Amino acid sequence: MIQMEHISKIYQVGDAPFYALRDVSLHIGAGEMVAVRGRSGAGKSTLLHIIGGLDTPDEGRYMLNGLNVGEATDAGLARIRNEQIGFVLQDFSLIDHRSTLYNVTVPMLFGKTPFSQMKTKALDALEAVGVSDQAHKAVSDMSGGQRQRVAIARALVNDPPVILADEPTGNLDSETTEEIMKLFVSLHERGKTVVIVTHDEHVASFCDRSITISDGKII
Amino acid sequence: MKKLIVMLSFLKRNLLPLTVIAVTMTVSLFMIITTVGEYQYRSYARKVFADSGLAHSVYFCRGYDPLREDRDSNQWIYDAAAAYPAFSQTVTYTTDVDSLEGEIVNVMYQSDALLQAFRPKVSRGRWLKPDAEEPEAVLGGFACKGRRLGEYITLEGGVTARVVGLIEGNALWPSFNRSGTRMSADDLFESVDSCAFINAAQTDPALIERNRPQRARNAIICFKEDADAWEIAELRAFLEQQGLCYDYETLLLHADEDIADALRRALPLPLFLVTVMSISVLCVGAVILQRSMSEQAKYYLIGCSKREGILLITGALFMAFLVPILLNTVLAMCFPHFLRLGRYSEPEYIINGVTLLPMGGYAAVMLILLWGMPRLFYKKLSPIQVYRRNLS
Repeated sequence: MIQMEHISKIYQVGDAPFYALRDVSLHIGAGEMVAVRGRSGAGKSTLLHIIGGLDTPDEGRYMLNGLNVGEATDAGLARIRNEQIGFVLQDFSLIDHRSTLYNVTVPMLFGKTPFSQMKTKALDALEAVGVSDQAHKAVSDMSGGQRQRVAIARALVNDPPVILADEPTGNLDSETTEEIMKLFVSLHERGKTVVIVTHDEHVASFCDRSITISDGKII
Repeated sequence: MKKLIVMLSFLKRNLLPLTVIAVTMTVSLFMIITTVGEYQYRSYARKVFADSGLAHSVYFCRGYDPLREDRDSNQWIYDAAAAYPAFSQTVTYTTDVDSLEGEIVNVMYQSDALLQAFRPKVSRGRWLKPDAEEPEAVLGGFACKGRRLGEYITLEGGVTARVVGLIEGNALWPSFNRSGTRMSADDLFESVDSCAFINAAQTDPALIERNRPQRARNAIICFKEDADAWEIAELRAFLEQQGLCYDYETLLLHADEDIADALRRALPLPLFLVTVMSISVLCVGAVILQRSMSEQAKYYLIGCSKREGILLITGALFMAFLVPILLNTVLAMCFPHFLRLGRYSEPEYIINGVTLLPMGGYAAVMLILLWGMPRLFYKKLSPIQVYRRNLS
């Protein structure tokens, strides 16, 4: 499913190169649930962004479902993000001034779903995460837990095989964290590949295995 | 359709700044249209004169002297000039103020020489023909209201003519009454709000004379094509003994100077305002862009490419441009129609389809600049960098 070989990501800090990722090789099989752990600045988010096609590696080869992501164009990467990946992020990344339904519909606006099916699919996704009764509510009027459910519904609506989550419970209390993690587990049980970046041991304990990153390297 | 939904979301989010852009652009485009319209008005007479085919002629004028016995007519001068070998013809006209179904109309009875020399742009139909079989009329300005091509009009003075052409909007007609030490092509024309041009040769002279028409005080004296320089100089010398002569090149040169002078006075304010408004539009565009980048970054996460993001922003801005473009296009297309609705005293603009070209060019340049802004922004910061910044 996810195959990375000798991946490096280099940023220029002044005149000196800074390795956010250095020679990372990684394999995540289909249907796995993996936690990526490490301290702040270790390179966890950079790794997630490269896996998700938000960023491209400077060195190495990255294959996702047989696709060479490193060689994809801007439009190709956009298609990968739309069809292969579902993102769940710490700040929810929702469009606050719009309704829940609109937010969940947006990935379909950039995808191939026929216009006539969009509303039904969006409502089904909201149903799956338990917030279908909030469909017409503005996101800004919802609690953190509800927002994260909406974000998960948005990640699921195009039925991508991979769900990437960056500190998905970072802004939530422990009770809501538990509920959200159960949602991720249920996705994993439905065959989705789930990769969760976290520094929370409890969150990592829901996963099949953990990968630890330090100074841009997997240890 | 799908992208339109995203674009509408963007419009809704930025309603106020986009309204500011739409209003500013409406005013800006209007200023461009009126400035170009003013230029067209200022240069129209020059253009008509330049196209007249009177390169081989002089405009002859006499100052009005109340003590002179022959003050009311130059006819003896034209008769005397006809004896010179270089003389070809005198271009002049007869005017009259008549009434057409209760409305005052200025009537110009045109000699064959005049109607062939000056051919105003006819909006519908055609210009007068020297070999017409009956009296024909071309109506201009307010006189066009409710008139159809082919219909017969009868002036109160008794002249009946068939309408063969309509000049909607401003009607310019020859006016050879001005005299002075500096004449330009512009001085040979007048803008009239309601007029009828009628071919004199086909009209009963008795009917023309019935209203005691006025003859042009001055005239254009044409030289024979094959007249040599000495013969022309001889005729000019005779004419200059009686009054002043201005040749074709001098009249055009003075017209160019007058146009340049008029533009120098008319342009600074609109140019200044358009510049200020353009900068305002670009600044508001930059603010919209700045406000939208965080939302664009979210779209980027879920499958919007950079190119699509730029197109969405530019598309929404284009929609904000549509209102001013449409409003001003309607103005330009309907301006001649508005003129026909009522009497306007010499509107100093010629607004028509031609004025739309610079307006379209300006709108296109503004859109290109606004389209370039997100591209520059994305060159500096990628959507994911924007997202990270907002997160931190």
